[in-house]
Amino acid sequence: MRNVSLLIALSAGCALLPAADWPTDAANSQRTNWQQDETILTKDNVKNMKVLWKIQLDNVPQEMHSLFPPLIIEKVNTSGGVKQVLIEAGISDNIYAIDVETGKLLWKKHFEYPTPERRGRPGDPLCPPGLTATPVIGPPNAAGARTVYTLAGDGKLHSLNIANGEDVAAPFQFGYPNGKSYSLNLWNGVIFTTTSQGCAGNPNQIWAVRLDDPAKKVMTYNPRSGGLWGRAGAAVDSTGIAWAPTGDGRYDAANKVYGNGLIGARVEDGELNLKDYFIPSNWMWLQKRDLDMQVTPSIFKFKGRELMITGSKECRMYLLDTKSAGGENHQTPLFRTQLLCNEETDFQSAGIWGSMASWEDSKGTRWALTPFWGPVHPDFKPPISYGPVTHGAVVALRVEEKNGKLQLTPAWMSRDMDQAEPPVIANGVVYAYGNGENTRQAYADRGLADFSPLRIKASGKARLYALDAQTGKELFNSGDELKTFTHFSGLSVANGRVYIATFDSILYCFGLPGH
Amino acid sequence: MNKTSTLAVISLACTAMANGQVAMDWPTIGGDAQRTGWAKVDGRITKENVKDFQLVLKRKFDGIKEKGPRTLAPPVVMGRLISYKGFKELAFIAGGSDDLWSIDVDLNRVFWHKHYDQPASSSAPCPAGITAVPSLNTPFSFAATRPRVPIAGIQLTANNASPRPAFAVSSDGKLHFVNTSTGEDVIPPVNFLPAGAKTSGLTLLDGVVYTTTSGGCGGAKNAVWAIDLNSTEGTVSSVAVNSSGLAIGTDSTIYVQSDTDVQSFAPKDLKPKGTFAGAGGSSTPVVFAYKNRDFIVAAGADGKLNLLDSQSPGSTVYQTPALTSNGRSIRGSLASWLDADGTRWVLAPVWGSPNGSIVAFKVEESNGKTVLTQAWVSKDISSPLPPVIASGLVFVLSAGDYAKDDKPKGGTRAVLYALDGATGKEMYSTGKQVTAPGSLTGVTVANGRVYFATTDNTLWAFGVFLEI
Repeated sequence: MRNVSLLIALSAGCALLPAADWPTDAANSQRTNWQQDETILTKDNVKNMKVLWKIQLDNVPQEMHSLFPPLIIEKVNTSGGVKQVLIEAGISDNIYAIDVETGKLLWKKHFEYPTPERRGRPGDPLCPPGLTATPVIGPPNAAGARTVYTLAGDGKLHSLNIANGEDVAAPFQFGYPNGKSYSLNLWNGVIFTTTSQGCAGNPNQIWAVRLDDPAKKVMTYNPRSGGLWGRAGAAVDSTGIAWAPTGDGRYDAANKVYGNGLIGARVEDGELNLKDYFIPSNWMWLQKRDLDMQVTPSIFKFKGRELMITGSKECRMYLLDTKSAGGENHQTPLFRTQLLCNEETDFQSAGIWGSMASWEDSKGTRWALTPFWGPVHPDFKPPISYGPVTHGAVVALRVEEKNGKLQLTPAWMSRDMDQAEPPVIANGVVYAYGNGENTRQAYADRGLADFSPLRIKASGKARLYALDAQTGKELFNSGDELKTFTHFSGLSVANGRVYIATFDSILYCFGLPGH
Repeated sequence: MNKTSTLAVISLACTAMANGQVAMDWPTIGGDAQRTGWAKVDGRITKENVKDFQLVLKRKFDGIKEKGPRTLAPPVVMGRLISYKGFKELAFIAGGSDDLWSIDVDLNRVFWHKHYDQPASSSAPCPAGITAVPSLNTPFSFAATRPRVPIAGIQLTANNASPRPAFAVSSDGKLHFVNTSTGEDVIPPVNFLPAGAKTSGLTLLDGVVYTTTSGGCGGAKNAVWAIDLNSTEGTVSSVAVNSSGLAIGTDSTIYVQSDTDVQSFAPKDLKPKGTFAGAGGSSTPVVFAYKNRDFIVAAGADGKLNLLDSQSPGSTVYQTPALTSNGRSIRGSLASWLDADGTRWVLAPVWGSPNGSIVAFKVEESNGKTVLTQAWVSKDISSPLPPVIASGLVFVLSAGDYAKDDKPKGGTRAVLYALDGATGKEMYSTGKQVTAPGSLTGVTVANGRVYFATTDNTLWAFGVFLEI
């Protein structure tokens, strides 16, 4: 008995040791996409990465959606011992738990519910039915157990034990059926999500709920225009303000309309209140050309301040202060970059999509990274680049202070990628991928015809890259290893492994063989 | 759509209009088939911001060989095309060398350029190339089903359709059905007019394209023409009449003014409907709905405006006093708009007395009769073009100092004015910004910009600044 207790204690102790987890989309509540605890993969050995395993999941794609960015917890006490567990969410209301060491399925949960009365138009890539929000994993409780919070397609929030998939609390309503929620964010006991595109007739807004509220009161803030489709949902700053882009919409401050901007809302006294907002001064232009502000910001500390970066399909980056985004008139960023891409001002297949990334190197240099789609802007000439960029790339900039003002200084631009997606930084290496997706929505002969079957048929293959974070030099690429594209998914990195999931519901694990 | 949905759509539309984000078309010369010159919605222009108008577009079309007061016309404008290259506001410009340009007006970039390369000789009365301003498909209407125009019995499919086509007549007389995303012909051009005909007033309505020919150019009779794109054969109809342009009533009746009268024709087959004797002249009439029927106003050769009732052909309802007395005249066409109080206005560009002016009338009832009551006369404006109206403002281009032979005098320049539509008070002028005489081809207003051309083949637009 004493030995068993000792084993349990040791086991629990292991679980509480520092671990390289990836508990939420984009790594953390601030959505930096920075894995700070990676030690295995390095600039020198990343070229040796191979597919360690891949698993075909039984998730059925809906429209263009399939699997979402995986979440990883290094040490989970399961009935089979302490395991590194990966949680993968699928659009068809599936949650999969996978043993990272073996690539085998530990458990699966499928959410069953009556078919909602309303859903998006069949064939519309914007409004797939089902689970659309990347789940979030809470911190360990006193016993070391962790909970996966998952929003099913019927709008119910489930709390699952990561060890076995069992409910640890009763599900409760946290949204509308087929409402297209975006990645969940958990900060200080509050879960946030955002909705967009008015899918199934539902409102576009920020949502919040306190997990310790017995009544599970759902709090919302509606900007009254646009849609909040930042890929990684909202990013949360150190004061609990959830920042979310509001997409294509109008700005009319007098009437509390905040489309085409970035809004920040905080839970206060049982309500989700607007605290601040930023609207680009050329918002009318953005709306006219459908160049949505739709990029989840990254929030980070810099010289005693808390800053954030975001962007839009217009293909500029904005540097903002979380204390006063946009200054007194809400339209003055700390810095606005030149156009990095999208000279054509196209609403499709061009511009910045998804989310941002930021990290700090060992010398204290703060970096800001953005992906973009389409050709580089002819006037953007970073000091380091790697050949013509016609399909997309990752751009890295340094956050610098010059003459008392903050700025984003271009450092490098990656090689051409087929529509670069939000990168992840780990141990001095930038992991990026071209999604290979056909993103065309309008055609010369028929105008707007955004139709999933057309796009799926015309899509190619995703490709994973590893780049030197200081220079952008390519260190690795996955060649033709990935067989299909990705759509609105993302990378995860933890403990020497890089994960990416493709449209065919295959999850890939890259890493160093034999490590 | 149920009532709630309808209300929601209207509410959304109104809110968007208030914020200047509804993209409207200027689909044909004169703004609409009635030739009112009235942009009924322009959410960007206001009486408050017109004083801050700026030069927002200037582009010289060097590809046009000839220069003069009629070689470049203001564009038709498509407020929003969701093209394969993104959302665009496009201006379509036809030049005298058989060229058709599509301009991204926000960025002042050529979106596409098409040259039809048709052999044709040119002379002053009979210029070579495209002579009529192109016409767009039925204007986009918020929440409306997008119309699909059949053409000459050719079945449109996903492979040969165009989301928002434009129509143009090249100098060989063929009607082109143009894909506005690319400039390419969607189908082979259709025979419409004799080669070399001088056309004007090209208008698409209910699947029928109308135009007029004049000057006997290319051996073509001076006539009104129609091609019915709904018919299997693409049936062409015509009726001989000397005119300088057509206007179409709300019931699709065609009105033209000859030297001696105003004539009306049935749509499609152009069968004569009626004649308003004594209302002759050399301008294009304007048509508007009033008291549940169409009224027509035509400028007489004697400088008087004739008010005609579409239900009472053969007579003139009311005639104004002569607006000019020194032998000059009312030029081009008229304009009409409805103000927020429901007052119907008619505007006339008058040359002379001493240099020119805009004269505004209210359509009113007096002693049981419908009359035109003069409301205001603008400041002296040299060689005023037919005005256009947006947001309660009257925009009028002074083409400069023109001689009686329609040639600009040396050193003269165009000036664009904005006048208060209710009083005629000057609210804005471009001063000396324009460096050449204005072309006598018209003015376009759409989505916060007022366009016109100058005789050096430069397209200008002044309007509300849009930060890009």
